[in-house]
Amino acid sequence: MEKIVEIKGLCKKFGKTEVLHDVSFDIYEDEIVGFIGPNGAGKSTTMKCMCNLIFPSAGTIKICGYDIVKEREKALAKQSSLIETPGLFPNLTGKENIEYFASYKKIPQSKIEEIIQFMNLGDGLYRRTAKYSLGMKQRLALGIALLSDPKLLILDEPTNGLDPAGVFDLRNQLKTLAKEKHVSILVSSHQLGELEKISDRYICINKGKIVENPKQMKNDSCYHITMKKTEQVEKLMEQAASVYSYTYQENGYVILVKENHKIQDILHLFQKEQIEYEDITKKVIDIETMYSELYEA
Amino acid sequence: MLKLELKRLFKSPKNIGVVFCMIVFSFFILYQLNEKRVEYDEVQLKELYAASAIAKQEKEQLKYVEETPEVAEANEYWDFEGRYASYLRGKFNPLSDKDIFTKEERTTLEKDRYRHILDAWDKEYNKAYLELAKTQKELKKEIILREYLLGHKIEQYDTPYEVNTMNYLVNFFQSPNVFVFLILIAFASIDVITKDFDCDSYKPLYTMPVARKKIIRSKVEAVLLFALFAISVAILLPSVAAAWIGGTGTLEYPQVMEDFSIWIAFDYVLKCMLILLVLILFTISVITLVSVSLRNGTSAMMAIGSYFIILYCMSELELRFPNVLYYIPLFSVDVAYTVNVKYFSILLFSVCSLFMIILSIWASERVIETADLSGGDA
Repeated sequence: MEKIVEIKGLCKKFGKTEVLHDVSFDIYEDEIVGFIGPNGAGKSTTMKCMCNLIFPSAGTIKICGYDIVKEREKALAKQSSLIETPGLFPNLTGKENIEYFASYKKIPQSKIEEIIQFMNLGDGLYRRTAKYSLGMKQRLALGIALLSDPKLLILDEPTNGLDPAGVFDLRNQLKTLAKEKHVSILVSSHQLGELEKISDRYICINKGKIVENPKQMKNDSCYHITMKKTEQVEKLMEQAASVYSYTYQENGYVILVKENHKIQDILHLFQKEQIEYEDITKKVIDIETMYSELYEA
Repeated sequence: MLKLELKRLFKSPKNIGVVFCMIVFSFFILYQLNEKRVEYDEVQLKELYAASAIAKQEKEQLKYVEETPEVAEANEYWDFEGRYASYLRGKFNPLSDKDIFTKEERTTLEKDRYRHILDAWDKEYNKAYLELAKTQKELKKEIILREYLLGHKIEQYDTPYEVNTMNYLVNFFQSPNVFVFLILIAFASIDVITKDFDCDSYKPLYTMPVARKKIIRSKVEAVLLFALFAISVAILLPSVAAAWIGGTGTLEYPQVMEDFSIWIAFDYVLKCMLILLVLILFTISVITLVSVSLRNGTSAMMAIGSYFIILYCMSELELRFPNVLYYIPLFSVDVAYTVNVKYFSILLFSVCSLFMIILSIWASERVIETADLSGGDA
C-alpha cells in the first residue's frame, strides 16, 4: 500500500511550551485513521502542522512524498482539511463560497456541480452562510474540502454540531470516499462510538506524544484471564515484554498484548513460573474501553 | 484572485456602508460650502462694522455726528425719541451707528427719566462689540494660518464663495475631510485582511495550494482599488452636483494661489491628487503590516487608531513649527495648502509606501505560518 502521510520526529513549541514531542506515524492509502486523545493532547496542533497552518519546530511531514515545508504547494495540492470550526465567508452564499475556493484550485464547473449534489444543501446553497446552522456549515466545508479530489482528508471534530442524521450521512460519505475514491482520512473526534464505526485503526496521542502504536489497538490483542490476583502475577506482567497493559477486573486480568507478540508468550511465562489460571477468553474490546485503558489507567 | 477578493469586498455590507458614508460626507462638504458663503458674508460685514466703529472712536463725537450723513440726516428730521423709536424698529445698527445721540442728547438722556434708553443702547452696543471682537480674533487666526501655509500675504477676500466644482474640490482637500476619508478606508481595509482570522475562513484559505503572499497581495490590491473607487466616487458625485448648481468655477482665489495661471492651477490639483494617493498608499501599507502581524480585527483597529492619532499630532506639529516636517507630505493632512511640498518628496513617500506593502506581503508568508494559530486546543 502506498504511504500517503509520513511524519517523523514532529515537534512543535509555542514559546517555551512543547506541545508536540517526537510525533511519528504513517497513514496508508484507503485508510480511515481515528486520531484520539484528551483535550490539549496535541491532536489539532498535529493536524494544523499537517495542513501547514502552523510551522513545525522540528521533524518532517510528507504528504504523498512532498515535504509540507519545502514543497508546500505540492503537498497541499494532495490534501484537504476541515479543522475545528468550518471556516466560511459569512457574506457570501454557499454557492459563492464553493466558487471562491474552486477558483483558487482551478476546479472545473462539472466538479462543482458534482460537489453541490454531494452536499445536498438544497435552497440553502443560495443563502448567505452567516445564516447557516452549524450542521449546514460542516456539510459545505466538507464539500469545499472535497473539491480538488484529495488523496488525504484531514478532519478535526467533523461531527461537531451535526444532528444524528448528519452524523449518519457523514459516516457513509467518509466510508464511500475511502472505498470508492481511495481517499485516506485522518479523523479526530471525541465521539468515540462514531470513530469506531468508521476507523480502520487509531492513533492515540497524549501530552504531545504518541502513546500507542496503532496496530496495538486492534481488538484481537486483548484477553481476559480468569485467575486470582497475586503479587507474583503482577510482577511477571510488569517484566513481560509482550504485555502492554493490564488491569484486574471480573475475577481476572484484562491484558493488552503488544504488537508482534502473542498471548501464547504470556501463557508460556505462566507455565514456566507454574502460575495457574482457570480460563482465558478473547475480549472484544470497544474503543471506549481502550480509551479508558490508555488515558484513565 | 484579485477579482475574487473584489467580489468579496463589495459583497460585504460593512464596506458598502463605508462607500455610502464617504458619499454622504462628501455631499456634506458641498453643503458646508453653501453655508460658508453666508458665514463669509457676515464676517465681511462685521469687519466693515469694526472698521467703522474704530474710525468713529477716533473722531470727535460732535464732529462725527456732523460728518456722518445718516446721523446728520437723523438729526435733521427726527428728535432723539424718534431716533430711539427707529432704533427699536431695527433702523440703526449698534456698531455702525454708535453715536446716534449727540452729546447734548446724551446729557438729556443721562437724566433719570431717559436713563433706560441710554442703558439699553449701550448694552446693545457692548454686546455687538464683544461679538465682533470674537469674530475678528477667529478671522485673524485663520488668515495668519493660511498666510503661513501659503508663504505669502493674503489679500482681503473680494469674491464670495459659490457652490461650484472648483470651490468644492478646494474644500474637499482640507484637513479634517481627508482625515475622515482615510479613517473610513482604514476601517474597510482592516476588515478585508483580518476578517479571515476573525471568522476562521483563514483555515481553508491558507491551506490552499497557493502561496500566502499571493493571497495577501490580491487582498492588498483589492483594498487599493476599493479605496481609489470610493474616493473617486466621493469626489466625482458632488463635483458633478456642484457643476450642475453653480458651474465648474476657477481656482482664482487669493486664499489658494497668489498669481493665477493654468500651470499653477494644474500644479495645485496634481499635487493634491498625488498627496491624496500617497496618503492612501501609506495608510494601506500600515494597515497591511498591522493586520498581517496582529491577525485580529479589534487589535488592528486599535493599532490603526493610534496611527491616526500620531498622524494628526504630526500634522499639528508641522503647523506649529515651520520647516520641521516641511518636506513630508505624509503629515501634511491639510493637502489643499501644501503647494510647497516638492514632487520629489511625494515620489519618495510613494516608494516608501510601496516598499512597506511589499514588506508586509513578504512577511505574511512567514508570519502567518509561524504564528500561534492553534487556539485553546494546543
